[in-house]
Amino acid sequence: MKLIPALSLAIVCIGLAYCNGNNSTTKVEEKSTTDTTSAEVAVNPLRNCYFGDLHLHTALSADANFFGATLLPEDSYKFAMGEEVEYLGQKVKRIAPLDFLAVTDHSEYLGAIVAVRDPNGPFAGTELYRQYTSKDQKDVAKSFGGFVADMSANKPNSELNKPEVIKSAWQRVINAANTYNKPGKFTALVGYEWTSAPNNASKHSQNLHRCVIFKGDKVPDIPFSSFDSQDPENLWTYLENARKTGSDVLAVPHNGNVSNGLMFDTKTLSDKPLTKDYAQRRMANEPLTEVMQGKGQSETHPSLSPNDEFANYELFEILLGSNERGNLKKGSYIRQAYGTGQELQEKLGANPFKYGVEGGTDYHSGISANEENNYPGSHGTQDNVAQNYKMILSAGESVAGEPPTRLSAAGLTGVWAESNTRDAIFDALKRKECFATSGPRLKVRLFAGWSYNADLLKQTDWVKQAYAEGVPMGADLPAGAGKPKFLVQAIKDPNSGNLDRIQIIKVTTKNGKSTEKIYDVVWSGGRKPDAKGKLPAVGNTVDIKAATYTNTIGAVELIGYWEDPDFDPQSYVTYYARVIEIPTPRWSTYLAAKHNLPVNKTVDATIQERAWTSPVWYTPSK
Amino acid sequence: MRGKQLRMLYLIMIMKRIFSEPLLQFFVLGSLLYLLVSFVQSKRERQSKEIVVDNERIGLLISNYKNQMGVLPTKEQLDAMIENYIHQEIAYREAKKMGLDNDDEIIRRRLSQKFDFLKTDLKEIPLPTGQQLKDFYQNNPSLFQTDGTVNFSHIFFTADNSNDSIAKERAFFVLQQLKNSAVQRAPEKGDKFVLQYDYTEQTPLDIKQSFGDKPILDSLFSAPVHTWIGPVQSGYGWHLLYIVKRANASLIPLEANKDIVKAKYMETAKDEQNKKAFGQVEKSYIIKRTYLDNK
Repeated sequence: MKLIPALSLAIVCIGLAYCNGNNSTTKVEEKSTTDTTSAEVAVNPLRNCYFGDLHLHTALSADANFFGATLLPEDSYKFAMGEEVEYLGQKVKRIAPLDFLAVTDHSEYLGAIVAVRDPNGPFAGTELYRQYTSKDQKDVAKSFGGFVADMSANKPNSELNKPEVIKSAWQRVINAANTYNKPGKFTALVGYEWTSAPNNASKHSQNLHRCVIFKGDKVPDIPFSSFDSQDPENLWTYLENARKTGSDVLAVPHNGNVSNGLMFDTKTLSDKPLTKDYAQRRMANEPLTEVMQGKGQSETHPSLSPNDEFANYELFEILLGSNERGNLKKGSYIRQAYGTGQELQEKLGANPFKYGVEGGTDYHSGISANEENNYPGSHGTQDNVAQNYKMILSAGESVAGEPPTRLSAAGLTGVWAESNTRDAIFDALKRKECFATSGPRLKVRLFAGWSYNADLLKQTDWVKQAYAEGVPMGADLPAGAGKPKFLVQAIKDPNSGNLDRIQIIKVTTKNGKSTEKIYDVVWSGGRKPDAKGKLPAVGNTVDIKAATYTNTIGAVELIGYWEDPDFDPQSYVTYYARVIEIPTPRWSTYLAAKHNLPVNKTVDATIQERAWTSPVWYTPSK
Repeated sequence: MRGKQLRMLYLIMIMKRIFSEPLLQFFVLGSLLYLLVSFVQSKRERQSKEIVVDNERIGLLISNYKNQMGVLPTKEQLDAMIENYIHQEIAYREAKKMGLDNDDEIIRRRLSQKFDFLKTDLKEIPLPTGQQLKDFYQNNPSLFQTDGTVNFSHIFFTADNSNDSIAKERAFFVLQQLKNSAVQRAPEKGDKFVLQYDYTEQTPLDIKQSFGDKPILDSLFSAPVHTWIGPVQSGYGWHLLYIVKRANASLIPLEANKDIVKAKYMETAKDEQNKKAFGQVEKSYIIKRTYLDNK
């Protein structure tokens, strides 16, 4: 008899919690709107530099959960803000906190594995619960195998793919972002990852993933997943609808390097030729691409840029979850795509690959721990640095793609925004006034115009004048006369190495043909280019065995003026800057030194960390 | 007639003797008790084999479904749910009979959660008066602490285009000039700095971000104020520092943060109430910590 009232009480409470959940979101929405417009947040019209990660997975992502991740979005935000959290039994903390973060869990099976393992959750008592909580290797293999098979076939297991579970996990993601969003101090953005990876002929995945980042928290009640469609054009439709009814939103494609040439393909996924409408829709929905992250850089490959002495950097070449090297010849790297995009623009009148760049971690650990000398691993028990360092330091290959040693302690997004708020940061991303770094908080400015001169940089208000007389990174160079002129400035990360040089990389297209050229613009020390114009290397102070370096070479700040000596007003041009640090130890070298073990021979012992700016584009007037 | 009466009397006397025999009394009472107990037990057994699906139960099943799915179940779904309920109930009773609930961690956890849930938040916490709020704020400083901050001006000496020891020496030279002066700000005596020369209300985390996790961090939060100190190293080079003001970890002002303090007050009061309620129950238990015996 006593059971009935207790039960009905419980049910009433569940019902209330259900309604409350909905109410509290609307309340939070109102609150966050007033917060971001609050007059207390200081605004700098010349824009400050903020650093963050727009790509991070927690235990709500099915794969991360299988890898043993237990941290949830709340932990991710705490860690990003500089708090200590516990990861695989270790206390971890960033040396320098971040200014913003978007937790981007996979929308496919979002939160399902957490729910299925919850003894009090909706799956309690079911066979699935037993299987997923079982320690028996057969059950573990069955669960993970089933998940991999579902993802590979792109067919969800209806028992796991429950809308009510996904909705409640999505609400958790939104609530966590709202809780930790502190206008003026720390920006927490609502986001998720759409995980499209159509198979190639040999049934290996071709990565077309996109992170979806919302400006506010007025978002659809369920995220669009690759189970809904693997075609990015359908994702754009979802984004367009979301924009109409709520917060502005953008998508960021990542890992062109493992897309097998599909990311920057010259036809659509449904095998149709690209059109002007396609190009415009693509750029309206996804202004940025992730050029650097844990699974390598997608700027360029040595085989595509044989004259680029810095191209051989943090390469990740094996298609995800396979042992097949992807097609690198066409469509996988952004520098090449800048040319392809301009070739298409000549034909179509619009450029589908006019991408700004950002950097993220894509870690499946719940924490953006991407500092080389403070890297605890990034994929749960798969690369638990504290425990499996011997394996990690010796592995040269892996049955499921690249070994953990090849994962990078990278990357970050830098944005130039008026203040650290959702609105200001999102707007900066949308206008592409942002850049990617391989992890350091390395600041870089790039301006282009027709009337700049070298003396401008000597004036204390040069940034103000640069904005007034030209455009910053991410913008179109308006029509003008003469040669385009550029101002670049880089300031080192005080926790990382000094700076070697700033380069401007130029991709030119004329009559269907594209070429690339790299110019050293400003560099440290009194180095002189040789007869062929090649600048000598900055040097290397790294003691590999001890994993130390000194800042006795390189510069704290580099600032320079450059005008394009080879400018042809009839060509389409993409210009972007790349900043290179002096050599410092790679995370794997720090790890080897800590345990007095040899470094891994399959990766570089020292790296030159770097930053890539979003480009400035020149379009000939016809 | 008389003979009959006599026989009756005799019988009564025998009966009296028999019934006054304690052993027999005990035997008879025992038998009666046995009959009673077996009657009750068999009734219970019958009841435990009985599963009632009444209107109340159906109502629960429907509202449960609606809460999870947002719509009412169809006739087929409801039938399936009823069959499922019956199956679950039978399995539950059989499992209990077999003692499967003993020492099952999940069941223990679930039951204790249910108990805690029923026991907690029973009484509404009255809103605090202004004085209560003030007392709470004053008695719980750790809840309202902010990071320590520092305001300072600095002079920067770069190693760019020279080297580290030259930069440090130049800094020493300038320090000698400033030591006995009244100057509190002199960025022009050093090199151009890429960020700012004057900083206000910087927390340790702010310094780690903008100057690096370097010796300058310690100096800013421990060196004496209102005097030039240095040279100290940051991630950029050497600095002379003039600390204008340092606020040690302080409390957020009560007046401007009444909402935050009130929320913490309610949270704490609820915790206390729940702890008290549990403490009442705990009193009726004797807890033996035998794991401590061998120490």
